[in-house]
Amino acid sequence: MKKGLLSAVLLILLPFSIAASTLAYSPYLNLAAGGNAARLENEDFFRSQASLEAVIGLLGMRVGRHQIALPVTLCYHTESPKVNQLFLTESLDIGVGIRYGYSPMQGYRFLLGADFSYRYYTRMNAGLLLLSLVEENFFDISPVLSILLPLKLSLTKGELDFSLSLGISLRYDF
Amino acid sequence: MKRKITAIGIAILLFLSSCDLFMQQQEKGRIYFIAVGLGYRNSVYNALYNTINDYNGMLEQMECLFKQGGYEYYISCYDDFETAGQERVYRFSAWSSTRPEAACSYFPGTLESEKEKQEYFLDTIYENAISDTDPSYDDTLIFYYTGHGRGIGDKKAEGPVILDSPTEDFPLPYSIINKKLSSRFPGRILYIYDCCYSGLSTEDGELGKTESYKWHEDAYGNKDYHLQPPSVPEIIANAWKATFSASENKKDYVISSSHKYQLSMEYDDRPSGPNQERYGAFTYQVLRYLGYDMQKEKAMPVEQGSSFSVAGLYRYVYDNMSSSNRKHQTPNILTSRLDFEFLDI
Repeated sequence: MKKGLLSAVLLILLPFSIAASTLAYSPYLNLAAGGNAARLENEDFFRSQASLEAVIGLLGMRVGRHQIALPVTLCYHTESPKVNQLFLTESLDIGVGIRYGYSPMQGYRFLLGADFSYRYYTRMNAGLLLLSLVEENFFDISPVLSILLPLKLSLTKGELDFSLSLGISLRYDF
Repeated sequence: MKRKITAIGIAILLFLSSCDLFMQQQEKGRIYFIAVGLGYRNSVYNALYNTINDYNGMLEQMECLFKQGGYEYYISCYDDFETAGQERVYRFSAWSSTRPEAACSYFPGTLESEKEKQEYFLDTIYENAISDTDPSYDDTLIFYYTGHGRGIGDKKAEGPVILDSPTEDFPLPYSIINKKLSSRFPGRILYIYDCCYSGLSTEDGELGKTESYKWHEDAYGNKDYHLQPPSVPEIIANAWKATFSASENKKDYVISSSHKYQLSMEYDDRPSGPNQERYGAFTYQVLRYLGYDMQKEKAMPVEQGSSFSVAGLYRYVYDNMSSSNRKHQTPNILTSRLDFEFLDI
């Protein structure tokens, strides 16, 4: 009976002990600049804004080729050009996200995930909630530094945003 | 790898610049300005002594900017201010860029009910502004009111208080103003209200507000509604409500001098600028934003190329009102996420 119980416990712990041997704490920081195209309801064209984005992944883990993270995201959008006297004002997105990543080949990896953010319109003292789907591509230059290409699709009330950026990512595996 | 990254970089640059690049700039539309200013002297209401300066300053500065910007403009107003050597008047006046001499008219005196007076007032002031033009989507209407305002629970209805004689007055609820003007005017409308409880006109916006308020009682037992540091749960709750509510992108913009439970002050309690004690705490900052010379109390042209937007005006007033005054008189805004440039010089 005791032997059987011990075997069962060892069997359950086996995957964890294997994972523990390859598991690494892997925080990262992404910095990117790019463009955001916003499609608003009742408008028949997109409005463009420049954007700056920072993703701080302090809660990040790597297991072999797999990566998981719970990052904090910050994104600043500039004012859009004026069309018919109307324009989007500056805004700041602050959010939390979840990511899963995989490295299919040496020197390249990607992260997929979602962000839940608050968008603050700085001039209006007002805001909306935002849900974003994110895909981040990393082209490794060194074990620490990568070129970053993030794509983001965001949805909020009456608005669909698509953003494309280029930046750098710093990561360190402990 | 380098080629790929360069190609991606070029694609991003093209993407950034393509969206609005080919949008053509439209010609300037007409601008209509309606101003209502009331002082209530010798009436049943307590007299307001600064509204005359607010009203005159707004009229002078707006007209100066319309001229400088090369606009075709139309001005319509109503006031109860005494002009030198004349009896007190309850007078409508109107003039325009094409007809500079003011045409004046008065209430007919045969109107009995509040509803008749409301309709006559709004029809007259609107038609005086529109004159013989046919407004279009590209035109702008600015409505400015300075005077008394009634709040929630008032027996006579919420909104501005209009006098049509020293003893006669009638309420003008925000809902009626909006219904009358917004349904008739096809372009965008900016309402600027400087009166007590005017935040009632900024309810149900497209965006969730970030301000938090609380009831405050001072040592003498006076109760007031104070702005307080924002609370994160309240901000998220407001944003959640706005994100999932049915309020849509509207063509109307409103800036109010105070929250719906707050009074509006005749002057800022911590003056920091010239002649500040002679103007409403809110309108003083509006005039400064528009470039009015507060030292000389004179309309002044602004730097060529300047532009004025609704959110820019709100932000300026909010940031420049003294913090102690803003605590119990907090400017509010009703806007869509698209800011509106109402003047381009």
